[in-house]
Amino acid sequence: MPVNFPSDITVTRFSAGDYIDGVWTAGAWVDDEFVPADDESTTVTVHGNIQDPSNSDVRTAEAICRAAGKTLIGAAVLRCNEPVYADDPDTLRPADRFPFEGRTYAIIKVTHRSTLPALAHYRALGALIAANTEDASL
Amino acid sequence: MSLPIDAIKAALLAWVQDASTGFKILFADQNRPAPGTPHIVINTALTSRRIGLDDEAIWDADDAVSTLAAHRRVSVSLQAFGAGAVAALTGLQDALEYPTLYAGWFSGDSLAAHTPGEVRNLSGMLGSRYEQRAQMDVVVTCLNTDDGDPLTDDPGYFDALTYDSPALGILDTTIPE
Repeated sequence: MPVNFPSDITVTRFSAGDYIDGVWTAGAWVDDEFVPADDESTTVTVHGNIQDPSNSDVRTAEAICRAAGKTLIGAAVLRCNEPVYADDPDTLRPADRFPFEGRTYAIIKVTHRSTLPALAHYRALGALIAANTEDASL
Repeated sequence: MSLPIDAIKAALLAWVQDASTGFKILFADQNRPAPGTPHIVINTALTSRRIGLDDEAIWDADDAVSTLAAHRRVSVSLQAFGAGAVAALTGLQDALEYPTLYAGWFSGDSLAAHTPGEVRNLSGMLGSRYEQRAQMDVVVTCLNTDDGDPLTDDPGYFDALTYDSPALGILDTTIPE
């Protein structure tokens, strides 16, 4: 029985994809044929809450971002009762994103807290996404 | 008026796809997930410069229009990541020397390409392991267009001349009458 979080939070979930003729295309390979996805992203609603990160969270986020060659510019923590996902390097599926105080955060790490069944929930660490995240290629 | 970016990208993509095997290919700066290795990144237009002091204007007296021959030299960067990166770029460099292949990739779109410099081995640490990386510059020569149409200038022309000279007693006169 997970935690009964009262708030609805809209999470953006992305399709996997691949680089087709050099350009990112949402979709998946089926029997050696790439099938484009209908939508690059969808939204799901989870029950949860979002809080500022602890110092430990920030250090963890910095380490994860640094390993990926990125700079951490902000972090937030989402606790919710349904699974959410960080990026998947195998399928190239981008991480789920959630909004907090007018900004958007991409999930970089997810843990499932289940030691006490009555308090079981997912804890997702999110890294702030810069506003200019659109395709910048020529 | 602008660089024929789409034509340049298509030519570069055809070249890299045909002349490298096993490498995922992507254009730079898409803000999308980083692929695994090996892959090649095409950075399409690092610089663009005019060839010559100014663009040649070709005058068409019948239509009274100048067509500008706006030749541009565009520098492109190819970056390869993962095992075989150096070999992949040296192979791409070699492939440009085959006239039959080159014509299919570039000449048909009024483009020209050559590799002015060297393939650089930029292998280095990624985390705690070495990763093979390489980079090569490519120069593409092209013609600026207006969405595919030639750049034209319409300066106009004199179709009549009116003059007078009080000292010579010439009143206002227009030629042709």
